[in-house]
Amino acid sequence: MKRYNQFFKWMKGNKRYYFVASLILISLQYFRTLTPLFIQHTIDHVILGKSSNLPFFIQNIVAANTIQKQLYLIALAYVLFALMRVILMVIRRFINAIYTERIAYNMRNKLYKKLQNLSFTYHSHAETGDLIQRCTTDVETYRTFVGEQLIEILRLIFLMGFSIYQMAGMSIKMTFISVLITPVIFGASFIYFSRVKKVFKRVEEAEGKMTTTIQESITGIRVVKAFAKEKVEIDKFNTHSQNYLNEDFKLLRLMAYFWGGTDFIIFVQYCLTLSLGIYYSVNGELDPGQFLAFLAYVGMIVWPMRKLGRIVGDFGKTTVALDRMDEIILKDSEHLDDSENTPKITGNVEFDHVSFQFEDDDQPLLSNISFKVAKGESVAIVGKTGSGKSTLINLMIRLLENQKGSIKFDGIDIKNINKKHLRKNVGIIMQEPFLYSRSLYENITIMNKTAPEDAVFHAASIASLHQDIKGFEGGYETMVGERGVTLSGGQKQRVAIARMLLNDKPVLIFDDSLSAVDTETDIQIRTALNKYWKDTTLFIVTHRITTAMEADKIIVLDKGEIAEMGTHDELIKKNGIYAQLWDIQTNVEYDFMKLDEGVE
Amino acid sequence: MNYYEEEEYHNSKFDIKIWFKIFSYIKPFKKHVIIGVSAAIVLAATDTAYPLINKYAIDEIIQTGSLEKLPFFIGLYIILMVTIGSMVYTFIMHAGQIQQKLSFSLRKDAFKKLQELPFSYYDKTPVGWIMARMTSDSRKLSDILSWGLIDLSWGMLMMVGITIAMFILNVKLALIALSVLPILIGLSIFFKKKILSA
Repeated sequence: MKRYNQFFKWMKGNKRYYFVASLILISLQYFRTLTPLFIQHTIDHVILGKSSNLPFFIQNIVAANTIQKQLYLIALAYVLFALMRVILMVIRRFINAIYTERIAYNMRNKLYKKLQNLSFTYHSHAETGDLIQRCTTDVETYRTFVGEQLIEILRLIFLMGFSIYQMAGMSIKMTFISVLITPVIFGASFIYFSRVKKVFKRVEEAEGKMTTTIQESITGIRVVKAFAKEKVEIDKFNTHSQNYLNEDFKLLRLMAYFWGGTDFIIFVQYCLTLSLGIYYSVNGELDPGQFLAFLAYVGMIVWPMRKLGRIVGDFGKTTVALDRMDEIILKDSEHLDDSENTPKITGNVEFDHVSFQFEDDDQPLLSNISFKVAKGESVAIVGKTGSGKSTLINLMIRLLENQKGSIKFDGIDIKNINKKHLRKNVGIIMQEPFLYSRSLYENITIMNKTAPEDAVFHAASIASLHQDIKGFEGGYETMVGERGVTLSGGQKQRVAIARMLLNDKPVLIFDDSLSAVDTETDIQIRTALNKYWKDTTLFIVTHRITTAMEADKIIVLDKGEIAEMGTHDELIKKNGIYAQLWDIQTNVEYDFMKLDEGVE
Repeated sequence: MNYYEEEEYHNSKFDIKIWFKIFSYIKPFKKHVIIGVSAAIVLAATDTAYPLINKYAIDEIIQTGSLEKLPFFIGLYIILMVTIGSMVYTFIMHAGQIQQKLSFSLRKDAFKKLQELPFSYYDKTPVGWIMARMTSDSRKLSDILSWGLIDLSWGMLMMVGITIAMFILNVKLALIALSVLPILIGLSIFFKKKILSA
């Protein structure tokens, strides 16, 4: 029952098409089982003068005085019959194509929508390559199933049924003989079905892992090359690729056994029908035309049986694919409207003994974080990679939920604030902002489509972007992305800043979002920002000390804990991690400045 | 400013050089090719022989009304059964291995190359584009060179064998049976063009 629902839930709204296509299909199968009877009629009735097994309505059409006339009529009837079948087939295929495409479209949309709604926790644990495969290969597997295989099952069963009916009209004994081995063919299919399912799953997983390796390696190619890890990547890929090859080979061997073995069994059935058919023909129990008709009907039973076996084998594939898709569809979506509470957020933020740990990790990512920020203040968060900076940010917008302590906006625990409302009030500018494949103008106004043009230009100027855009051939209408201009990392970050400038948010987070602009531009932007956003609470996550130094409060994170906190002057005096970072970075920059002067 | 332009691939003319290059990829799998194609030839031969065995049953046994030759017929049929079963197994095993090993080596070479390419390549090439080459395209190429190649040799040989057998049996009937062939070929060329341009 669970499987039944699993299969048919995707077909919703397409059942009518299915019904009509099935009716046409069934009648086609009946017509098909008439063709051997035309031959039987010709040989036994017309030539030998014995009885005909053709249905009476056709016998009446082809009846005539002379053999010659009869042959003409049979030929004509046969051609007309073939023509009618072709027309029906075309209609059926047409209907078929309509609903399979509709179903696949529906599925891809549902999966995609679901992926958008799944929580951050889900995505930080899922592998992109695997998800892509589920949205493409698995959908395709199911599409083939409803579009071709389900119809095919129906077709085969009716073809076999009508064949048995026609055979029984000639000889019950021979009919029995002709289906004797078919249960074995079916049994072989069943064994194949149960084994291929597991192997197929392993092949899919191996392929998914390999795809993920390629994807990760290519997206992270700059890191790979910077650390000269090409060899490691190649070895990793080769292991996964080899693994996939091994699993795929097991599948191939099973396939070869199945096809070779069932071919053999099928010919055993042929041999049986032929031998006994010959025996009864010689005995006079079977007319020669009937013998030939039986030969044709055996073919209409054994091959469909085997094909049924193949589909039953693919059935395994389909259930695996459906299970894999259900793993996504049945996951709980993130509930954005989790609370009625939408208080006005002004920008006072408080962390009170906040800790966070992923369920399957043994170390907390953040522990015991406490600090207070007043409206309009700026806070810089400094620390090494893995020190917990991103986690802290993700907790603030509830992409992750802290287990201990509380985060308060204007005194209200954010767990009691509607998630959507919270995210509307807190803006984040990412280190690698995502730009859509649209024009620059549309990218800037993506969150505020009605912004007046002046405001857009103004925002771009503050973000030091206006001059760059003017330099492009298409100006603000220049397309971004794979089909358009490739922006530098710094330009992308500035587009994201301009985006935020068009939206008034009480709390803004810069997640290392000035990392890719040069120091000069950085200072320029920040000066402009301080003027523009003087009432906004700013969180600035950064590696660059010069960016952090002007903040009202600097928090230094180390291994998930607050190591130091205070203003620039206080921290320098403390002579701790911050002072050390300051030393290193200012000296390096001093060296660079000297170098620059030398060049000029 | 970088503009990424996808290389355009047209329905290009037959180029012998490309085919030499393609066949150089299958060279390491010569053993599989020889065994696979041999199995295909034997299968084509049995496909031709099968109707002839049935003809024998009708002409020599049913028409004469004597069961004397029935055991011989059954023996012949058993040989046919065993041959078909084992050849189908061989055919699949070897064609499949060409496909799997070929796409494995294509992926391996391509991945190594990807690690060696400069940053500038990655600046202008979308990841999705690379992914498609690495997965589906390498698979398609190896599919054509394995299943496609062996299927083709089986199909062609079977057609030739059956045509010859038909002409030996009855020239007039053979000609009538083949008379629809030009229409069939014409229609398939027509539809192939239609589908490719769609």
